[in-house]
Amino acid sequence: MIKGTVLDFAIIVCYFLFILGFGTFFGKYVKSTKDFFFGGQRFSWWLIGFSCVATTVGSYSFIKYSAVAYQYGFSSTMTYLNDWFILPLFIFIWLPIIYYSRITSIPEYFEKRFNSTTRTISVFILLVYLLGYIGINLYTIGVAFNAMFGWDVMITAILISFVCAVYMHAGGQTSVIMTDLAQALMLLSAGFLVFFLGIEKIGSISAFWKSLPYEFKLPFSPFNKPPDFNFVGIFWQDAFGSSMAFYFMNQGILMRFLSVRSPRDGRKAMFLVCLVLMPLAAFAVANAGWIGRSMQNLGLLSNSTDPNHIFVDVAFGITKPGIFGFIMAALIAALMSTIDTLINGVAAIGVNDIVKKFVPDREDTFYLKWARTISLAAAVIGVALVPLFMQFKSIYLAHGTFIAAVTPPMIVTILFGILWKRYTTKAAIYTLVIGSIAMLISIQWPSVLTLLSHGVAPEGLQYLRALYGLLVCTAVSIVITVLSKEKELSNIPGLVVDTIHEGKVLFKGGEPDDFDEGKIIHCYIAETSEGVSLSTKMMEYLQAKPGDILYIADERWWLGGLRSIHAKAGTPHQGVDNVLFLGSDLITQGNLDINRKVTVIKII
Amino acid sequence: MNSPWLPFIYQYSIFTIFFIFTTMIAIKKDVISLSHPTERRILFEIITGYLFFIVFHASMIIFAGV
Repeated sequence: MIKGTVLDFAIIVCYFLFILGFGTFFGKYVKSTKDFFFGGQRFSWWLIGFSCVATTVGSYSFIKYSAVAYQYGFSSTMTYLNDWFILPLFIFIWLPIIYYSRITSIPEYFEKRFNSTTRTISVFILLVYLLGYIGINLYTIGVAFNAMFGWDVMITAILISFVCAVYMHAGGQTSVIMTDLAQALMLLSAGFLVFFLGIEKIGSISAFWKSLPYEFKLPFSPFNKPPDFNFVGIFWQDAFGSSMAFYFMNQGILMRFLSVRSPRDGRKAMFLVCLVLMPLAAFAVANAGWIGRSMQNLGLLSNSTDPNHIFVDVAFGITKPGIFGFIMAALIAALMSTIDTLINGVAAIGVNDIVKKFVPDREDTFYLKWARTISLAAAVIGVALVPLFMQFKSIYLAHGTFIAAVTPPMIVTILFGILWKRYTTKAAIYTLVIGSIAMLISIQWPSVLTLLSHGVAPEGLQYLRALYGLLVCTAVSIVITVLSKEKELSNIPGLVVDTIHEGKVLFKGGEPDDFDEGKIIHCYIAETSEGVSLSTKMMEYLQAKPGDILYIADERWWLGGLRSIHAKAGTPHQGVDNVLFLGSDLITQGNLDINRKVTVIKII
Repeated sequence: MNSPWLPFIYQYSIFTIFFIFTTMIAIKKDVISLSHPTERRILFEIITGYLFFIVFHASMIIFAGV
C-alpha cells in the first residue's frame, strides 16, 4: 500500500528544494580549500554540536532503532547514552592534537606520526569506511521510500545523493554545517512530534507506561541474549567500537571539530553533544518503536507489523496528511545530514591524501575544483554500493557487520599513536595490515569468535567481532612495539600526548597562553591597510599580548561564527578604546561588515 | 533471566577503567593542570557528567519495576 497523500508528497518536495537552495547559498563563503573542508575554522560550539548530532543520526537510525525499540524496548537507547566515557580522551588529548597540529585528515596524521606507508594504508581503509557508510545510508532511505511510495530503492538513492552532491559541490563544509543545523532541529522535532501524537492516540502517559512489560522498560538488553540484540555484543560493537570510530576516525567528525573556532569551543560542543543532544536524539529515533509496542498491546496496531516498517507505520497511523509528510521529510533530513558530511570527508581525503600527493604545489583553486569533483564522484560510488547492502538480512546487521569489520585496526592504531610515545611505525603498519587480515578471517571463519562469546549463541557471534578486532590489534601493537625501535619525541611535536605543548608552540609561533581566557570584548572596526591592532586597555581585558591569536566575529551570535576571522594581535594602538583596527584583507576574508560591532576573544 | 544489573556493572566497570586511565594520562602528562581553576572546573564537570549517566541508568533499572 502506498502511504501518504499529495500534500505529504508536496511537503517532501518543498523540503528538498529548501535544502538545495539553503545549502547552495553558502557557496559564497567558500573561497579556498580551507573554507571548503574546514569552514575557515570559525564556527561556534553550538553550531558544531548540532551538526555532529545531525551527522550521527542517519536515516538508518530512525529505521534501525525504531525496529529494535519495538522488539526490545528502552534498551534501544543504550548505544546513544554512553559516549561520556570518551570525553577525557577526546577533549584533553585528541582535540588539542588535531587542532594545533593543523592536520587535515587522519591519513595525514598517520604520515606525520609514522610514515607514508601508514598513510597509504589508512587512506584505503578510510575510503572503504566512508564510501560504505554513504552506501548504507542511501540503501536505508531507499527501503523507507519503497515502503511509503513504492519507489525503487535505487531511484531514491540516486535522487537523494544528487541533491546532497549539488549543495556540497557549491558550499562544502559551510553548507554542511549550516544545513545540518536546520536538519538536526527538524529531525529532533519530528521525533518528539511522533511521541506526543502517539501518546495522544494511546490516551495518556500513564496508559503508555502501564501497557509495557517490565523487561521492555530496562535500559540494557539481557546480557547475552537474544542473539540478535544481546547487551555484550552490542556493547562492544556499537557502544565501544562504533563510538570510538565515530569520534576518532570519522573524517567528517574530525573536520567538524577542525571547523570550530577554538579547542575551547570544541570542548563545549562535545559537552552539548554527549550530555544533551545525544539523549534527545536517542529518544527521537527510538520512540516510534515504543509507541508501536504500546499501541499493539492496547490493540491499536496489528500484531503482524514488520519491525523494519514500524517507524513508517506508526508515523502514518498517528498523523494527519501533511504532518506525515513533515516526519518523512525529517527522515530525509537525517539521511542528508549524514551523507553530506561523509561526502565532504571523502573529498578531503581525496584532495589532501591523493591529489596533493601526485600533483603537489598547485594553486588552491586547482585543489578546490578537485574537491568539488570528488564530492560528486563519492555520491556516485555510494549509489553503486547500494546493491551490495541489499544482500544483508536486515539493516541492523548490514550496518553492524560493516562497521565492526573495518574500524578496529584504525581505532587501535590511533589510540596507541596518541597515547604511547614508544609506539613505533613498524607496529602501526603491522597493526593495520594484520588487524585487517584478522577481520577478514573472522568474516570467513566466524568460529574464531567463539572464545569471546560471553555465552552468546553462535548466530549472534558477529556482534563480538569488534572486541575480537580490538584485542588482536592491541596484541599486535604491543608485541611489535616492544620488538622495534621508537621514534625520537622531537620528530613528532604535537602528535602524541607527551608533545601537545610543542604542538601549541608551533601553532602559535611562540609560547602558548591558553589558560587565562580573559574577557570577551565588543568593539567597532576601523579599516586599515593590514594587521590587527587593539587599544592597550582592550588588550588588558583580553589578557592578550602582541602575537597572540585572536578570534574576531560579527556580534550577532546567531550567525554562529559564519562571519569571522582568526588573526594575530599586533602592537596596541593609543586611540579610542572601543575601536579595532583591522586590515582590509582580513575584513574580506572574514566576510565582516564594518558597519557592525564585532566581538573579540583571545584563543591562544 | 539475567540480572538487569549485570549489563550495568559490565558497562560501567569497563568505562570507568577507560575513563580513569585516560584522565590520569592527561594529568600525568600535564595536558591539564590541576593548579589552574579553569582546568579544575572542566575536570569536575566531566566527572559530574559521568556520575550523572551512572545514576541515570541505575534509576532507569529501578523505575522499570514501578
